[in-house]
Amino acid sequence: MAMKDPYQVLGVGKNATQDEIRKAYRKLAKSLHPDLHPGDKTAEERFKEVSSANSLLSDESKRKRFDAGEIDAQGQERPEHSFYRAHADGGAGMKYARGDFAGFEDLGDVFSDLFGGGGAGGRGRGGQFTARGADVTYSLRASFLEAANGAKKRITMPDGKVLDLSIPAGVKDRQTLRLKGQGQPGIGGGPAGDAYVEIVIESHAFFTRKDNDVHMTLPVTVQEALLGGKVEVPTVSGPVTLNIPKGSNTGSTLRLKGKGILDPASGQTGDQYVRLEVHLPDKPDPALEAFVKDWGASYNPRRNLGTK
Amino acid sequence: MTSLEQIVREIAALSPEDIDAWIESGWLRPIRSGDGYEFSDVDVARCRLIVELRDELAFDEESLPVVLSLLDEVYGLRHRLRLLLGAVERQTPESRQAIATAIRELLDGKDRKDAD
Repeated sequence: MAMKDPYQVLGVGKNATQDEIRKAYRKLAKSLHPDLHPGDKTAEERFKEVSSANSLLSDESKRKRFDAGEIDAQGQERPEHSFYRAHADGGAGMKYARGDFAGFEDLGDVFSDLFGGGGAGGRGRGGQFTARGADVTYSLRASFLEAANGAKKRITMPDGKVLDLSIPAGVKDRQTLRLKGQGQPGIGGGPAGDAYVEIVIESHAFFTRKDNDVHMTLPVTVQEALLGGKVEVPTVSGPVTLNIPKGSNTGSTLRLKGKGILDPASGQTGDQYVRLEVHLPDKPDPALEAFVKDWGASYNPRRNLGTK
Repeated sequence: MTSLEQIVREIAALSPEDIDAWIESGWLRPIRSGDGYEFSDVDVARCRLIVELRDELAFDEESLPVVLSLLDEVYGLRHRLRLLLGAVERQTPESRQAIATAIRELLDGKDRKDAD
């Protein structure tokens, strides 16, 4: 994309002072900031243009290099981020929608009839304005194990109210839990809205989740892989003993049936898949070295690479 | 989904003290759990907006709250307007026509019949 001349974009002369540039930028930014103009589709492009022109010219050393032709107007764009309006224009911004209905009574009965609380229409006793409070959304992080096994989380709402939230076992990432009546308060005796809490599951040091199955990589010694044996393996529900079959190798995958995550919809529990990874000792082991020196193997693991 | 530490790391011009002050004054409304604040996507975007209004557009301490509260009102109204338009869209062509006619009449300044 060809970049416009930053001086032209800001509408200042080539010899404008830094102060003039700053003032020109602020003036433009105020009239173009996308969040101040939620419905204007072109505002975002124009604002980016202005703000990239500013980031070039407001930095005196960059400006000098640009003037000298050393750098072009490109590459000065701010890192991409989503503007507030992208969130606030949907339902997610309702928790900040000021006072919600308060202050709109003057718009008349139709307003309260249309947006009023419950199915019974918007007028409460004596024609008073009533309205259901807005729904609000929140996010809450849960650890991998909390999500797998379920947990109780004590949360404090912005208004100071303390709630105990039950995270059900097997909750999925980005799943939303509804807290009935915990949204914004109703107006004029109308019912409160609901709160929706989006659960964001944090990653785990060694477990990963695919649907309701848990996957992990288990380090084993050469001895355990060759000869087989019993080892202890962590699962989301605590450690279990795993029987490693004789002659296992890196990549061998064993299944622990029913040791995955509960699917609340079907009542089934997933499995845990354990992928073995043969590890040599961290430090060179003289005995092992001496042993393999005389190990006259004809095995070539690179036979399929087309090399010798 | 984001902790205070993550936000401060992500938005360079932001200090933990800013966030505390904004929560205190009701500009930001995250929930809190045992491990600290829990910021949702809209909270993070709002932090960024407040920083830009303050640092780049140079709204000072006195004008910033006015701007924010007007913005909140605009977004609230846009939300309601969208609901209303969605509801109009669901009406029969005849009803929609009737609404359109009524709007034109109101625009033309004809007296509105009292609904009551």
